[in-house]
Amino acid sequence: MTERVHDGSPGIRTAVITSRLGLSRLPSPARCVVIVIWLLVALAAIYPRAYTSLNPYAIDPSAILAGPSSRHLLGTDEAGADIFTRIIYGTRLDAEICLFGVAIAYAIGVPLGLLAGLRRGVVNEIMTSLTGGILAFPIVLFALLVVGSFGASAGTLIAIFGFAFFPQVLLMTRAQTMAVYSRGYVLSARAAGLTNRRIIFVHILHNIMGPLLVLVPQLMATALLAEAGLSYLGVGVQPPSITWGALLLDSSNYYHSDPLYAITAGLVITIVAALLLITGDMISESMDPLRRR
Amino acid sequence: MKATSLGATQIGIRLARTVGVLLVVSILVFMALRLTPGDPAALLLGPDAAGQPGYKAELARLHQQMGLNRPLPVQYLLWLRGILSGNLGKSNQNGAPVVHLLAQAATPTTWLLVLSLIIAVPLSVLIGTIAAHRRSGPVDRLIRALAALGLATPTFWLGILLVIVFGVELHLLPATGFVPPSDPGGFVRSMILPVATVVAYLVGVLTRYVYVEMCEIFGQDYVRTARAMGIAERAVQFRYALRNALITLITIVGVQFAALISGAILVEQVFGLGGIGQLMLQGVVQKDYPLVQGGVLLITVVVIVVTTLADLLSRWADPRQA
Repeated sequence: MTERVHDGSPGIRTAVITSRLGLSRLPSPARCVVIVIWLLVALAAIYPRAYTSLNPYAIDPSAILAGPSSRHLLGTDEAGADIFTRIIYGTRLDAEICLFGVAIAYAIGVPLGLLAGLRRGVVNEIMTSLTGGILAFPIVLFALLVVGSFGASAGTLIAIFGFAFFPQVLLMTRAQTMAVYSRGYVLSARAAGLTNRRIIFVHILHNIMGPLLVLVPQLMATALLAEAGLSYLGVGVQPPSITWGALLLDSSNYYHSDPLYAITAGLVITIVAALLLITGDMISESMDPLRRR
Repeated sequence: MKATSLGATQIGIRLARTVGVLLVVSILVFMALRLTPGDPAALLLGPDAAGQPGYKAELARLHQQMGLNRPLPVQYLLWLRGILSGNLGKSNQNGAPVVHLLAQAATPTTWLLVLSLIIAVPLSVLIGTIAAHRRSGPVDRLIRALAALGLATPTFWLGILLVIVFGVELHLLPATGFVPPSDPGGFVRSMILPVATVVAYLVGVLTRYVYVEMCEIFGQDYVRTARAMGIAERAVQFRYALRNALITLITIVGVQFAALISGAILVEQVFGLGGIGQLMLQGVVQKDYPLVQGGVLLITVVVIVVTTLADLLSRWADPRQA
């Protein structure tokens, strides 16, 4: 992001971008809390052993469906595995599914959105029908079809999310491209005879990046919730893989004996989804001068 | 607001597009299941049957019976012809007509959706209006925080919590199962928790839009004029602002309908209502082509009809868009 560009000194440009991200301002207490929780979640995904020394797959016949204790913070499941440990270890796969799913959505959505915004006409019409069709299709139903055809796995989920979410990226890219395209600096760049590629990369992409960035955490939250739902239906990741959704499905056998299992697994999903939504809000707030306080 | 303001051509284009989308969906659904490994006939006979004497002949007989031995385009056209005459074929698994199975499973799903919308729409108008009216106060902040929390909560998990609290711990309401409306008491008891779950989700989504709309409306000229003319505040809120909020809500329900169906399928599963979602889940696992095709087509048609109706309705109700 600090690459040299000709229409402005790199220093100024970097400053603009960092202030856009709200990084140049001193973090408020709320910001600090959000950042700290993010670091904790990231640690769980990267190095789960920081939280627990137990093995999430370890079978302990002496502690089947044990209640909470000092050794088993949230009790154990039907095989005697520690639930807290399983929740911690579920973070990584969930993060991978959300990140890669959204990355695929952007890889498809941004180029198509640029194309639709720049070409308009027939291309635009096709994109409109395509996105309309996909958005009108319930994601659970789509997932059932795909899983029925290709089998259930984390990879299938990633593909499903990439396909289900790219229309939103496309629509956002197209709207922003159209708005930017008619602005003075793009017009003057065109008048100056710059190549299309240069206009797209330097002028358009650069200026629509902000709004596109805001969409990332929102889509990741949607992916997280959808992962939970699909895994709960049994069409998400399969054992022995662990995600929070898979744990929710697992916990459904123990509402009587261990209600804490289902409650905690869902609570973790809610907290992280809320964190993602709040982060999205913060990014958009820090980019909108009118909303800065 | 003339009846012709929508324009016959506009409606014509819309209908043509709808038919196009349906054709594309039908082809996709048809191909999706067939292009992948797994023979429904072999699945029906079970893994143990393979290798037994007469297995090949039996398989061939089943293929013939299910129409799987014909070329794919022929299979597709036969299926399409069936749809036009209201015949979606028979389930591979138990031979029951798909139309009957779908109709049966649609009952709980439809009740769940309709009851939830009937409760959630007025409720979110009320809550959104109150929040907008008390803007920036503690009530406003509380309502907005709850709505934001609602967006982050997996809807079906809320259902699980309700099952644990009211079904398992307190034994107040049945945890799972659907009771048909012919037994009104049982029906109401069986629907309270699922409907409450979907309503919570819907209110979370809809309140946000009502709130934004109301905040905007309260600052508009015509509302200010109405206030200046001495029209009572409540009348201003409900006569002038409500109409606009409703237009927004109709649009949003249309846009969100696909997501609502996804949510309903999950909630059904939590409460074991035996609705469309569970039927489709079974169909996918068993590679029951006719059942899954019919189900996907039915839901797609419903989504498209609802979306189109919502769009037309909001255009009709809003003179600015006509």
